[in-house]
Amino acid sequence: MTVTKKIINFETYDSLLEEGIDRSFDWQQISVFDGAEPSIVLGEAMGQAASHILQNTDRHFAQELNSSAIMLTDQLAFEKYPLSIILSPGVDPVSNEPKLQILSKNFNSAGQKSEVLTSISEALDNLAVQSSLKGDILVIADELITNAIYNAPFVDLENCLPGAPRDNRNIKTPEAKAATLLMGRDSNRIVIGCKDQYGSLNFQKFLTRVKNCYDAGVAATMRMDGAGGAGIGSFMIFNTAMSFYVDIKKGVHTSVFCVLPLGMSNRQRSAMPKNLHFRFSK
Amino acid sequence: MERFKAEKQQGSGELVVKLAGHIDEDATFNGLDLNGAQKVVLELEGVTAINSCGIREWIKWIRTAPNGAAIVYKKCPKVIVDQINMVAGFLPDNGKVESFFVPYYSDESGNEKMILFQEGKEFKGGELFPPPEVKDEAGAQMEMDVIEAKYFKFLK
Repeated sequence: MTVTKKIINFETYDSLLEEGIDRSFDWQQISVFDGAEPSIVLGEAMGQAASHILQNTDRHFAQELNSSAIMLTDQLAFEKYPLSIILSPGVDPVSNEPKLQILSKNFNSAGQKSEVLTSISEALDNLAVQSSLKGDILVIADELITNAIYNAPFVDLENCLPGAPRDNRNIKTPEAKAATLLMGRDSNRIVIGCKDQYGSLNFQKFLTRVKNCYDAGVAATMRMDGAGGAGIGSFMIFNTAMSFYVDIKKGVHTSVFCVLPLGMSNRQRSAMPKNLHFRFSK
Repeated sequence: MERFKAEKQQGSGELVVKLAGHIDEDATFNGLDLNGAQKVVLELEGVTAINSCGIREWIKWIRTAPNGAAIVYKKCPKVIVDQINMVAGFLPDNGKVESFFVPYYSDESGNEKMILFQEGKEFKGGELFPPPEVKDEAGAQMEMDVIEAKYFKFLK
């Protein structure tokens, strides 16, 4: 990884924005680093200095920048067309979204977890992705589903409660409040994400927990007592993804999307710096 | 997704536990009592995935091994090696890894292969002695597909 440097001359990047992208956003909301470590990325987000923390060493930097611009200027685009805004932000999302989508599954009970994971596994086999990448995607999917079933409907907005007991196999939420797992791809990247209809993720706590895993260690952060979550699932998701997108509308929805590169060795993937995008919708 | 499976075999003073499948909140270690064993051998080749709940349950379970018992992890797949490196206590202080898999990758063909590293052969006393050459089925050269400082951290 290269030396961390925060870039402050934002105007340099204006030329990377696609034609037609609304430029009326505050550039201070975008932080650009030169290969920053995950802990620095998380620290930047915690300080709320910016809501889009990017790495200019990333080969998809231009797309990340354009996605940021759209998320900052359009309240609905990311909510309605997440795959398109992430993978091809310059293209008409309405027609593009279905072309990018590989899988969409609704679920509302613990009993459906295995079935959803099996669908993802089969979809990845059809795409012939490398087995190490498949393993990484399934780790993310497992934690996203677990969170949507056991945490989102049961935690308070402060996230002081650890969620429903993990040994309760009968957990079920109303069908109208089902979560959706979504997967999509283009030729270079794959996206996996989940949207729940509770909007109960406390993002500051999330950031603190994940950063603590990097700074103090996973074991020191893990909740060993009780039957709730272990408190490290968020770290496992963030640590595995190359880019991480969060959109929270308090009490309404939480969307979390992760991006991983295709056609890359595990070694190259592990060495990639992380991008982080977050937004609190009104 | 392959469900969690566990098999226990009791030898003279040695308890062999074979684990396989996906270790998650549905995995139960209840029937795998480690009490009284002088040596616990975990055969882990069949483990395909482990999630955050699975990690916690594993640590709670492995802590029930008697003080002073030798704990040996055999044929650890990458998912287990990652946890050993990342989560303190996943491999207890009195535990050691006897063998583990290392992923290899060919940029040319995109093929992957897992190579078993065994103590005394491919690693010894914290030092690595990787095979001089690894090729895929088509004869393409393969390279070790891990960041060495991270993946082999547990050997130090």
